[in-house]
Amino acid sequence: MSYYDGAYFFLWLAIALGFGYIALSWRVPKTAVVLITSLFFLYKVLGDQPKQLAWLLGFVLWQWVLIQVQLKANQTRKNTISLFRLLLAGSLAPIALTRVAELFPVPSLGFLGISYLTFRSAQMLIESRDGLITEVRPLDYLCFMLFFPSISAGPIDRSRRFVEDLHAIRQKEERSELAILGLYKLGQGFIYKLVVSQWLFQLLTTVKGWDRGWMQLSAYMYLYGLYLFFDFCGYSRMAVGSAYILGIRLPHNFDRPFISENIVDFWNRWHISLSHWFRDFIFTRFTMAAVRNKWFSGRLRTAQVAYLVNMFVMGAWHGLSAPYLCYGAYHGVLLGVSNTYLKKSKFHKNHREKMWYRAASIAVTFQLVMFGFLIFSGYWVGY
Amino acid sequence: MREKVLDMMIDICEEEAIREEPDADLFELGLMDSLGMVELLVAMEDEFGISIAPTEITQEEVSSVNKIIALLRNKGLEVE
Repeated sequence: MSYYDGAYFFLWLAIALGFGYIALSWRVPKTAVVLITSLFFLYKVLGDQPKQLAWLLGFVLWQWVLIQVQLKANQTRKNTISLFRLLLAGSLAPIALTRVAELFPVPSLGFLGISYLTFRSAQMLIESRDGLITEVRPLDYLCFMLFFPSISAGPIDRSRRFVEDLHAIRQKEERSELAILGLYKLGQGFIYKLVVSQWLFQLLTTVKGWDRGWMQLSAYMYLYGLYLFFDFCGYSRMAVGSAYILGIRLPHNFDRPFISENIVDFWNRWHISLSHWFRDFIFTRFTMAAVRNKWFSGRLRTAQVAYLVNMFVMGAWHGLSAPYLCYGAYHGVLLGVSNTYLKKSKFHKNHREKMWYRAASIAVTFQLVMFGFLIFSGYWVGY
Repeated sequence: MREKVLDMMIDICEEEAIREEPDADLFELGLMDSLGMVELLVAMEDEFGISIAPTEITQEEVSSVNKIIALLRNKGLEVE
């Protein structure tokens, strides 16, 4: 069984959400509901792959230890930057090793959700170092890490926000309103992923069989981009919808990305939880160091380098292969150029409010974005 | 002290006019963005010794001059 895939999963989802919602209305603690349903799905999905399950649980335990060491160091005032760097390296080692191992003909080190789980644990470690997190309780931690709607592919939540929701006791009206909204999102996501995206995939397969040429490449490009959107947005919506029914307001991943007026806007509309994670934990920290130590001459140059570094790491996070790395570099360059353009261009300043300019901006951004997805698809290297 | 905060903001936003509009939404006006946030965090530490972690605040909490002053006040700075 896979998360959000196949009739059996959806059958169990309906049962789990139904029981979960009823349990919540009987005042069963949300922690219990979340933990029991999440462990249940973990067993259903990975029960027949004990090695993967062992890796996952080992990973969860490993990250727990690292976070506790950081918190203890804070308390005893022994939190040196060297210790933090060591812990962070330990936290990122599993995904780094998995990605590197993918380059060689060895069995995969990874397990389902490793890339997304790393975000969650790294966030907790970094915010512990920042002093924003002063304690991590075991049950809260397990719920956050193993929460079944988002364990396999996000959305990437933040622990403080999640734990607040976990302990929030809502009144019946608010709870039922949230659940109805959740059902709606679940339905919408279902149609996106299991109807629209599947249909687009069929079209994509057909186009692959066409004679090679510009027509075929263009058709493939647009279809792939749309397929990716409906597939991922559909999944994300189902995840968010499921979470809402259980009283957890997971963040959204998509906000009408194809009406973006520039690339900066785009990354506030596409895979939002990922983009914001990278903004908060990589872009901002790199830029702070750059500004403080005056690595670059001026704001624009600093932004250009920071965007490139940020997006390149994002690409590498997907995988250490050409499509992903080029995708990252491509968006890094686009962001740097866009930022400079938006800040410095007189043409932009003069026309930014005009309808024709905005329409043209949307069209241009759409083309740039679609081309980026073509790079991502790996079609050009025979995927 | 207020003057010092205003000077810091004008330096970051590169716009004198915000002196007159302490409630204007700087992000909406395009005067502040992610990079501006970073410069704000660094400047708050360098000018006022107030250290704020990147994920401690949201863009919403620093979207106007008055909000920034309120934040600094909360962090112990004496600003009129």
